[in-house]
Amino acid sequence: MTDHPDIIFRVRGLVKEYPLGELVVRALSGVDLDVAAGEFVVILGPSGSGKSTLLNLLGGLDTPTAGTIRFGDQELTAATGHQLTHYRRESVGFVFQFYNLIPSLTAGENVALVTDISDRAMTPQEALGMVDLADRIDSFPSQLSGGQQQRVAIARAIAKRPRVLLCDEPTGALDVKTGIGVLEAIETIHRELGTTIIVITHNVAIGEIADRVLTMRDGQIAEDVRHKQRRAARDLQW
Amino acid sequence: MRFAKTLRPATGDATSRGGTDSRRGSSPFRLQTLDRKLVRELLGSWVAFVAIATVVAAGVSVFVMALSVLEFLDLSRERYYERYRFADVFAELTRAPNHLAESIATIPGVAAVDTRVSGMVTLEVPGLNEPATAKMLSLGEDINSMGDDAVSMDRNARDAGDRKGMAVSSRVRGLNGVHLVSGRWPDPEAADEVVASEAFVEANGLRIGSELAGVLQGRSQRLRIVGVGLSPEYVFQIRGGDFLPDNRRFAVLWGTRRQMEAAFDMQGAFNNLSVLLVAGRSPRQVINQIDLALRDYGGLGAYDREDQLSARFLDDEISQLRATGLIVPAIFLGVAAFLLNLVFARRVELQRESIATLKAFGYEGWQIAWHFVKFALVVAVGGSIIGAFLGWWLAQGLCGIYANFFRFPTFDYRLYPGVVVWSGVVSVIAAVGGVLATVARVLRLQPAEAMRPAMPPRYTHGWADGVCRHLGLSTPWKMIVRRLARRPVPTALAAVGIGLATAVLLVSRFTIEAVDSMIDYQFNVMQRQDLQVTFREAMAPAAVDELRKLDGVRQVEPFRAIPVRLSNGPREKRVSVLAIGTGPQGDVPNRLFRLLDSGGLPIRIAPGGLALTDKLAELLGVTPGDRVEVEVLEGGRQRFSAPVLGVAKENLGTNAYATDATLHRWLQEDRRASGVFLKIDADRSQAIYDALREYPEVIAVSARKATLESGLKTMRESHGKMEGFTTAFAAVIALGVVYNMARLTMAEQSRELATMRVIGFTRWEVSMVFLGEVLLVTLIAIPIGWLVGWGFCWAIVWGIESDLYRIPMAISRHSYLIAGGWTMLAAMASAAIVRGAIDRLDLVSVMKDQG
Repeated sequence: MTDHPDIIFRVRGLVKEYPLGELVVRALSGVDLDVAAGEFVVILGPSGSGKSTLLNLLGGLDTPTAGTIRFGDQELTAATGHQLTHYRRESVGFVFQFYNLIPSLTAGENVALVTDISDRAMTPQEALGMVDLADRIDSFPSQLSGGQQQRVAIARAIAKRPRVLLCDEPTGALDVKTGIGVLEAIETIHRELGTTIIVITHNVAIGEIADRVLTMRDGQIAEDVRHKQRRAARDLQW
Repeated sequence: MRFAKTLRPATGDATSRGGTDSRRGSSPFRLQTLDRKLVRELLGSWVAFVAIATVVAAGVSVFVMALSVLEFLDLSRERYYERYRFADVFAELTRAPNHLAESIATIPGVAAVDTRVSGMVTLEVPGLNEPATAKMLSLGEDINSMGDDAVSMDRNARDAGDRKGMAVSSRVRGLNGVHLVSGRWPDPEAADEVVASEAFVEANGLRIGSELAGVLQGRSQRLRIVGVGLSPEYVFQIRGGDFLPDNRRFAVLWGTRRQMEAAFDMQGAFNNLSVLLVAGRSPRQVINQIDLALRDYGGLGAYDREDQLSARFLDDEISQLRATGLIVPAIFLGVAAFLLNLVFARRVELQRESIATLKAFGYEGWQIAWHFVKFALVVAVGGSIIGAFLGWWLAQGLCGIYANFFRFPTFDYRLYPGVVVWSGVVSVIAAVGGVLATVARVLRLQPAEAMRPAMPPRYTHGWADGVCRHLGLSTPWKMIVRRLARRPVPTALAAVGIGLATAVLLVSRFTIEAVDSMIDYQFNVMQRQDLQVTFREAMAPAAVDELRKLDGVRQVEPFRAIPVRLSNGPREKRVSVLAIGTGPQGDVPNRLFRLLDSGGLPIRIAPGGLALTDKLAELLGVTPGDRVEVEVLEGGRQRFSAPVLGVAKENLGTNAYATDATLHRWLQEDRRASGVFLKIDADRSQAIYDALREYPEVIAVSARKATLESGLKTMRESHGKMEGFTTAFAAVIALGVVYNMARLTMAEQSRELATMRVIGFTRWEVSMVFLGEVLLVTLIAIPIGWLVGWGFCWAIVWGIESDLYRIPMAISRHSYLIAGGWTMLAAMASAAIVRGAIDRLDLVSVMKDQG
């Protein structure tokens, strides 16, 4: 049971420490956060601020040192490895900075990799159609540009209709024009599927397309700004 | 120079210089920075390097084992033959006066002549149901007391050659010396003392003082063992006509000349001749002269070492060992070179940026290349050292096995350093060869080019898509098939590497099966008699009829055997013509001793000509329809031409066959039998053995089953040990190849596999992508291994084939399955070890990893 039906992530007192030789590095020091279902959140912050650590913990890729994360009514911090795998398989879509497509599979097959193991997935054609790449379904990653590869990665991430899409520097490896194309694809997903989206980036400009911008510093959320009006991705400049 | 400087005592001056050296990092006692990198990387990937070093070690060990045992056998043989004056030419005859030896000594090319009295004896051995047979030989007068003087005299005689100055009398003296292992020589005055061959004494648990009941020339006589001996004539102790040694039922006994002359009615005469030739002299002419000299004395045809059974078996074994010592290590070292190539190609790829940085800093290409060659050297030298020790240990095991078959006065194995050095050199060449291609690539890399990350693997649509579509493969399987298809050469090499393990296993199974199959064919399909009874001399049919009446004898087939020399132009061969009794009218088919064609169907010998075994036909270069010249080597010594009317498939020996009527006509004799083949009731065997002892004309009884069991037991024990070694080596190959391949696959795919884990694939599902690749390569590898193994087996069949025996090319389905099954098991075991890395995949770093 969730305390509030609209809250998809409820994070309380989240701490993550990494041992580094004899030292202990504290990446997160007591983060509290609620993310509403369908919210588009951008997390900003310099390197080492803890944004990637937070994303990894929300995605069930890592476990915290202290604190709790609830995903709906599921306590992620108490989940077993198998339950976390199931969580990632059913509820989370990932978009990586360097796309992480399987080079031996075509665009369609990269998407099928996910749809094959999901119960309520769309077809690869549908998913690629949403990112405007239906005509490149038979292309291998090496035959696609960087922007196209990232859009295939988005199609792969949303094909199973995840409740949340986690994007780690999705435009980090792309030029402006291509990056905007990728953000437009993410916008489309948000608009048409109502997926909760969390994007982490160094790029302050990207915050303008979000409902909410969190700024992290030294392992804590330093600012939490909600936008009354979101800008369209195509109007961005950086 | 530098070394001398460093060794100088640490005076103030030297210390300051040492300090400078140290800062420059050029002291020979300090590791260069690149060497530290080498040490750390070796330690970091020690399992992979140990896996390769183990394959090198396996190759080196077989190399050291085979070649050092070969050298040891070769040297032991040479020393034994020389020290105990093993003759070059041998002849048996009915009876000749002793003075004939002096005229034989005058034959050009003869360095020394020895005459002996020999005879066959049947023996009753305590604890043995079947009668044993012994070859009894007289001891020379001077043979066992001359020692090194004799060797020196032989050398003089051999070198002196035909010089007139050499006294003929000095050439008539002992050859084929007997080495007394224990006990003493027989007393010249005692009529019953003998020296018995060591193999026989050991096999029957006899000792000095044991007594045997013998039948000599039809007369019963007690024989007391006073000594145990060895002879270069019986290094491999085997009865003439046998294939397997049967040390329990065949003995060599030596008695004094006086005793032998009395027992075999040979006073002042001899029936066994040995000749030592002048060095470099071909035996052919001397043999012709000896045959001529013995013509009137019942000579059975002289022959040289090539036809002397023991020498021949020993020579064949040494030849086989020579082949093993080269082929098997070549396989292992080839695999090691391949593995080094596989591992280093990847290592260089992973270190592109480091290499570029080193080049940017000003390191020469050769310095970096030398750094990588050092990896290969460490692995090769490490593997060679382990292999040399292992080879030394295995060689002692092999010598232990050989000691069962080959009897030398001393059998102390020692490691020959030359062999070890050679194995080291060969393995270093193989290992460095394995990394050369990689090193060449290092030298070609431009710093700027290498600084850039490697291009992502490029895939295009191709035949693999068709395969995937046709088979309706799932997405993970498509990944596997496309990855393998994209890099056909490394995939093929990995498959060949793993396939070699299958091939080695198949060869190991084959060597056992082939011998079984050869024996089954020869002794169950072709020759089906239980006993072979040999008469002292050819007997009239009445003798055969008498045996037929014995209680428990179910079938009798008389045979007549005569020694002949067959020739076709310059090709000639000394063989026996065997005629099997086919009834007075020649219309009784053979049931016990059958001739079979290449398809295994019985063939009947056509009257008026010869049937030859396939090997004999090949040696003489004849086919059915051709004619061969026949020279009978006993009795009337007839010479005639006979047509070849058939060819029979046989795995052992080289024989010629004729109908008994034809042979009798050629020999112008009435029907006679040299012996009989008997089929008997098993429960009456003892009574039949006892009855046969009472027949004075019977000189040898050979019980097929007992001989086979005894010989096969020794052979299987040896094979069992060898199979154990081979299986272990095959496992080393399979584990070495698969482990390295799996590790590289894991290294190359870790980002993809981690991505799959992140997007929701379970560990097991991801493992299947990895294991599937190993499985598929192994499935491709096994048929390749079968094919390569078949080739190796064929090479063995071809290499071993001799007129003594041929092993059939028979590999059962069972063997193919076992070889494939073990390979798959070893492959999956090593893949499972590497699979553990999937559980440790870093899912967090994959989010940022550029690949």
